[in-house]
Amino acid sequence: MATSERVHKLKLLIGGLEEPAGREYLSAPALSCGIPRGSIIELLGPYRTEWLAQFLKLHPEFRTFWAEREQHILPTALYQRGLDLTKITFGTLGEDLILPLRRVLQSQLYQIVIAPQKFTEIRILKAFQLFTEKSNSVLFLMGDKAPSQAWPISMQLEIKKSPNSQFQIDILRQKHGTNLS
Amino acid sequence: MKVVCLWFPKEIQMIKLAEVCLRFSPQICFRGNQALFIEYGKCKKIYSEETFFARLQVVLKRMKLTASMAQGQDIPDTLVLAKYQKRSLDALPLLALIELADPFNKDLIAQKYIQKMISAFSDLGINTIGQFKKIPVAELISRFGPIAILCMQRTKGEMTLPWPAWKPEEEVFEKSNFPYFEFYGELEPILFELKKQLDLIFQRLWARALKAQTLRIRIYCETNSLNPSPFREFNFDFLFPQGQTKGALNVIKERLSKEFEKKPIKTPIEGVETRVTRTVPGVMGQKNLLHNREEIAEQLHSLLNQLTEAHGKDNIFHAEMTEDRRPEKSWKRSDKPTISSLGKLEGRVPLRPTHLIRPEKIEVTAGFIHIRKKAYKIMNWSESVERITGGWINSPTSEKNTYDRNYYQAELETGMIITVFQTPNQQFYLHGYFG
Repeated sequence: MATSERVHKLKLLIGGLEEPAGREYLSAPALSCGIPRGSIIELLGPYRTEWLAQFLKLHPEFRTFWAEREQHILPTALYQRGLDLTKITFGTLGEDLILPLRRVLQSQLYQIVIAPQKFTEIRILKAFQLFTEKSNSVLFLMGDKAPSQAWPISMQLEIKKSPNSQFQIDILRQKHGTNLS
Repeated sequence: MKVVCLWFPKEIQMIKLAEVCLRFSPQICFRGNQALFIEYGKCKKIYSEETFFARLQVVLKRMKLTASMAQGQDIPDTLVLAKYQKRSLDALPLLALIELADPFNKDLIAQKYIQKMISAFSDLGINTIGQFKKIPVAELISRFGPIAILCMQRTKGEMTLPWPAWKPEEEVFEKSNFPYFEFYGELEPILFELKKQLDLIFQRLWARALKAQTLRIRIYCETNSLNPSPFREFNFDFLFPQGQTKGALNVIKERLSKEFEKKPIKTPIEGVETRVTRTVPGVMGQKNLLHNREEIAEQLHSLLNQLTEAHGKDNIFHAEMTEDRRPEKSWKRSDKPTISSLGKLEGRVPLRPTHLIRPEKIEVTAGFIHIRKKAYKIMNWSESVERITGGWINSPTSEKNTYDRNYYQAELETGMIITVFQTPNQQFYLHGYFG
C-alpha cells in the first residue's frame, strides 16, 4: 500500500477526515480504494495503458471514448486483452483536444473518457471536472511527464510493474477520500 | 401495350431522365442505369406516336444523351432490340436470351444457368434466337429444365411481364424567403430560420418513418460583381442518419460557422432552402416507456456526426479486426461498431504491444539498442521470433508490395518492453511498445 494511502486511512481512523458520502467507486485492478466516478484521474508510469486495459475489461458495460493526438493505440492489443471494441470510439483529434472532449463529456454518453494529459490551464481542467461530475463519468488523462499540480485532478496514479509482473500502483494524490465499502 | 426502350451504352443518371420522361407517361420503369422503358400506348389521345418520338429526341438532345431506341409490345423484346440494334428477334445472338429471361437484371442464379445453356448450344452450332426457336420444347425440358421453357416463352412472346411500379421519390424540402428583412452574412438569423425548417422537415420524415441521410442547404443571396453566384450550397452526408433537429442543427452549425469564417457572405440574404436529398428507413411508433435505448442511440449518432463534421470521417471511428497478421493492418477503421468474427486470438497471434508507431529505423549492437542515437541497454531479448511474410501472391514479380519481417521483443533497462522487427536485409525497425 502506498504511503499516501496509508496516511489517508490513518486520518480516517482518527477522524481527521470525513468520508465523502454518495460517491460511487469503480473497482480497479491492484487498487483496493477503487476509482471514484465523476472525477479526473491522471495516470502516469510505464504500465498505465496496460492497467487501463485491465480496468476497462472489468467494466465491459461502459462506453469509452479514447482520444489521442495521433493514432498510437493498437486496437488489436485491446482486443487481445479482452476488451469489447464495439464499446470503444476512437478519436484522433490532433492539437484541438479541448472542444471535442468538452462535447463528449457534455453529452453524458460515455462513462469513460481517455485523453492525453496536455492541459495546463486550470480553467480548462475545472470545466472538465464539472462536466465529469455532472455526467458521473471518469476522465483518464494519460500523463507522460511529471504529475500535474492542477487542483481539479482528483487522483494521480503512477503505475509500474513489480518483479513478479503484478501492477504496482503509487497513489500520488487522492482528493476524494478512500472507498471503505 | 406499346413500349419504347432507350438503351444507353454507358451508365447515366437514370432517375433524372425518368423524372423528365414522366411528362410523356406515368408508366415508366428502368433497368439499372442503362435502359429506360416508357409505355406510351395509353397516352395516344394526348399526342401521336410521331410527336412522342420527336419530343423524346428533344429531351435526349437537351440532356446531351445518345441512346438506341426500339419499340414493341413488351419489355424484354424492346430491351434486346434496342441493345443489339436489330429489327427482328430472330437475328439476335443467343446471348440475348439472358436479357429476354431476366430483363431487369435481378436473378443472377437464372443468368448463370442460361449462360451454361448458351455455351452448350454454341457448341452445337446454335448461335441465334431464330435457330433456338426451332428446337422442340420437349427436348429443352429434359436437358435444361424450366429455365429453357422460360427462355422459349419469352422468345415467342407467349408470356407477358408484369410492369414494375416506379414513382419518383417524394422530396421533402422547406424554403423561406426574406423579401423585406434584409440581413447580411450573420450566422445566427440563418440558424434560427434553419431550426424552423428542420423542425418541419423532421416532423414530416417522422410521419413517414424516415430519417435524413443527406441534406442540402442553399443560402440565396443578392448578386453583385463580387458575388456573382446567386446561392451558396452546403451538402451534408451524415455518418448516421438524423431524425431530430437538435443533432442535425449542431452539424450544420459546425459547417456553416467554418465556411462563414473562411468565406463570408457580403450581400443581403434573400432566402434559405433546406432539402432532404436522401432518406433511410427510421423507426416509427410510440416512445418506449421501458427503456430509452433509441434516444441514447440518437444522441450518440448526433454526437458522432458532430465530431465527424469537425474532425473528418477518418478521425472518429470504431475499430474492426481483420485477418492480416501485420500489426498495422490487423485492424481497420469502421464507421459503425462491428462485432468481430475472428474469435479469440490467444494462441494464434502473439500478444501485441499496446502502442504502435510508424516503423523507425534503429540499430542493434551487442547488448544495446540505439534509438535516435541514444543507446539503451537490453535486459532481455525474446527467444521466440514471429515471422510475418506475405504479399508475394499478389505481386509475384515485384517486391514492392511484399513484406517479410521477423518480430522480436526486447526489454530495456528502463523497464519498457519494445517490439522490433528485422527485414531480410538485416535492418531493424522499432514498431511498438508495451505499456
